[in-house]
Amino acid sequence: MSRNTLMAIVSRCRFGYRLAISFLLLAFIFISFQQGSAAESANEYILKSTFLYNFSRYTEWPLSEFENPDSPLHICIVGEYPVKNSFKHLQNKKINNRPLLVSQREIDKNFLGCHVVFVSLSEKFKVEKILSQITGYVLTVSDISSFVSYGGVIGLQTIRNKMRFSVNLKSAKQHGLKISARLLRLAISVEE
Amino acid sequence: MKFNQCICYYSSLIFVILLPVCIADTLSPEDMTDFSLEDLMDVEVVSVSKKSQKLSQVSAAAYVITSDEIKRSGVTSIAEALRLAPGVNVAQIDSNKWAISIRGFNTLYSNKLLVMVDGRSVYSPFFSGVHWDIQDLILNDIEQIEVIRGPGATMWGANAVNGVINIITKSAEKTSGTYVSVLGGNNERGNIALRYGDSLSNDADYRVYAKYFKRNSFEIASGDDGKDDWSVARAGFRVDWNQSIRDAVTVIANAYQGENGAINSVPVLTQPYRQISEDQLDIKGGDILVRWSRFFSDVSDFNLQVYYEKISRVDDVFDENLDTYDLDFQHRFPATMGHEIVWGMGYRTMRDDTKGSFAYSFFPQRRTTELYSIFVQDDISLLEDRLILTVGAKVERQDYTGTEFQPNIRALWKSDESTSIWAAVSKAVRTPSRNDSDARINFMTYPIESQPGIGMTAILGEPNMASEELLSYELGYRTQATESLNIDLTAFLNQYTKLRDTAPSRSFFEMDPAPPHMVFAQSYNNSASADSYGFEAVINYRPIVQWRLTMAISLFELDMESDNGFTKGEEGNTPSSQYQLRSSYELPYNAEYNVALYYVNKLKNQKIPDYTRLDMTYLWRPWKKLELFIAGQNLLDKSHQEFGSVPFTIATEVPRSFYLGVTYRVE
Repeated sequence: MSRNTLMAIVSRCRFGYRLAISFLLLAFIFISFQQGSAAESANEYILKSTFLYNFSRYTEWPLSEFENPDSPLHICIVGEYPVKNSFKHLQNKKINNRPLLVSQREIDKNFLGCHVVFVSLSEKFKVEKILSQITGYVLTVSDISSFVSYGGVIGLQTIRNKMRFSVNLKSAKQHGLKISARLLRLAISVEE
Repeated sequence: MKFNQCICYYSSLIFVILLPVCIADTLSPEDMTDFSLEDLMDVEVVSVSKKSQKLSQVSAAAYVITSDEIKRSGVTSIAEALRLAPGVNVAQIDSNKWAISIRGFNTLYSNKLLVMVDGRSVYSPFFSGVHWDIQDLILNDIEQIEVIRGPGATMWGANAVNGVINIITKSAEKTSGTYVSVLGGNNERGNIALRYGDSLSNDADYRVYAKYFKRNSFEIASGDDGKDDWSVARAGFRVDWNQSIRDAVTVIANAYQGENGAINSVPVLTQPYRQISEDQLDIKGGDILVRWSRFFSDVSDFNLQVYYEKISRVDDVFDENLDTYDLDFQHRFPATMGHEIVWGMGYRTMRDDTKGSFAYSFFPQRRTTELYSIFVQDDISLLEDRLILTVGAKVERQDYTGTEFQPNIRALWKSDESTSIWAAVSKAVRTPSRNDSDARINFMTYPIESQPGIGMTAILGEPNMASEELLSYELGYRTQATESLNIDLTAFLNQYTKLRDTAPSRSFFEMDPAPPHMVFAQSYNNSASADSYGFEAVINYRPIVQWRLTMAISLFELDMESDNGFTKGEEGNTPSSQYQLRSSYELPYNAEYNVALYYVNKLKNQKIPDYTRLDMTYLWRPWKKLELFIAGQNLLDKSHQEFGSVPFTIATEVPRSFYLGVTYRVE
């Protein structure tokens, strides 16, 4: 653009044009700063994964389930989540010197090697099938409604906008797990 | 010179924009794993699913007015806030009276709309209607207002014929700290609200509040003062105690006192047969509600609630004193897989004491009525939650008509994650009020040729009135079309039978009060019927994060069948169409600019022409603790009338108004 043209444009800087151009500039900047997702600091899955971390902390597995005192604790996730990678932040965190290893498992593959299985909401209608495949020393956790009545060990639920959980102690015993009294005390219901 | 000015201008503009704008603080996953389990249980869950997704599970025409929407609109009362919901007819009769209804039959005491505040019914059994002048709160304390169009008979019972409005306040936990709000303008002469909230202990929170407002009078069409200025002072508290993980107890109490001005127009037995005078309605009352909730899981809980409310309303035409005691129980639990059952029982006793005047009185003056109810509803989940069938019924027994049965059946089908279609068939009833059964309304007086020379038309209540009945068919469609576009459509067909009508019954000579006169009486009966049908649409669009748009349309037709011209005129008491377009834009520096445009079609029966209303608000929050507010309402007209005069007062015109407000908040 020649210097003359530039000067010509610039010399038209009267109020009306300024206003119009300001508005366009503002609009452009707003759009470029726009974050996109309407989820706006939704913390639902961060909370659920943190609860899972705590459930793992307050559950005891028989020592025979681990090779060494610092062998990893395997957390297997079955199904999908609206918020991807919600459990990723747990990777390599330590519980009593054991690192956590989070992995995804397909529904039809077996759950060998898993210490914790988290069943996602997307598998709501396959709960019974999944639980029947899980025998052995596995902590089953889910946010599916009435999970514990299907035989799951811990069920997460949102009540009046607070995160709560219920424990199926009978199922925990069947899976050879010992749940800390501290956890049981905070459960909304404990099924014996 | 101009060149330099321009460069300066634009650089400063860019600089100003790039100044750090407030960043919402989010808790990162890393922070959370350091929390103790007890702390985690205190964190407020912010769900991923939008409000619109939760609404997509409801097989009824529902709209939720959020706390933010109320704030953005700049309204100063609950009655005015109801304009935000589609399909609600809000007509301001005078400075302190509103005619509010859903799907027709609008009047000062619209008898087919049930309204509740925190679980307490505010529907008056006298007129089967709501006293909107005493429904007030600190608007900032409102969590949301749920507006359900159509029969809500199963859950909420009789008189929820055309809709239910549920006003829900925030839990005490959410309103901690100091809150002071002051506003004033040409209509709002002084409006001040104070609130303080804190924790009583680890598990208990409370808030106390006080509020006072004084509003100006409006003008009558002639330009004279309508003398309808009013002022109300109120105070109250709320305590929420989470006794254990499973139990919660809530106590809510309010008390108020106020004076409402009005110009009365009543018939008299001497020339000129009408007396117009200034009057003042003294209102005072209070309420206290205690609720105990126990949670077994997210699908199983029960609630036990008791409340007491006292209302006193005294003016030259009628004195109303009412004491209400109510006990309610509700239990929700999953039955065999796929069935979620809610059932409940309720008992209410209403003790009234009235004193009438020549124009309006009840016989007997005192009466105690009781209401027993039981309801059950089953939500049946089929096809892996894609189809939800709801079957329910409510049985109520009250003193006027005995037992009433209200069944309904609803279905909701989710065609995919973002779209649902629902349909419902319901039967609902509107039980007779004290007015229908026991009133004596001296409507009009006039000279007559024959002895004794004075005649009077009076309406007599009919103790054997039956309930009005509605059979309603509804169809709805909801879709989250894109991330930013949400559409909600509803169509309905209502068939009413046994609607209240009046017909000439008898004539008799009366000596008291003097002078002696001939009474040409009309009695209430149930001989009217009607059909109504309509369509309601809401579209929410959020093209960019900062800009929210809402558009609503409601279309309505009513065909009344009655030999009585007055009753037939009901057809023209509701506008045949209403439109609204609202825009809310977030500006930098925590400012917001909101515009709302409403169009309400004419009221043929009341000779009220159609009107367009423009409201604008500008909000600015320069510091975290301070918020400034400027609002303008009804900007397009100097003033306009929204409804005709109703017995026994004179309607006034709603003026253009402005106000400035300041809110100070420390959490």
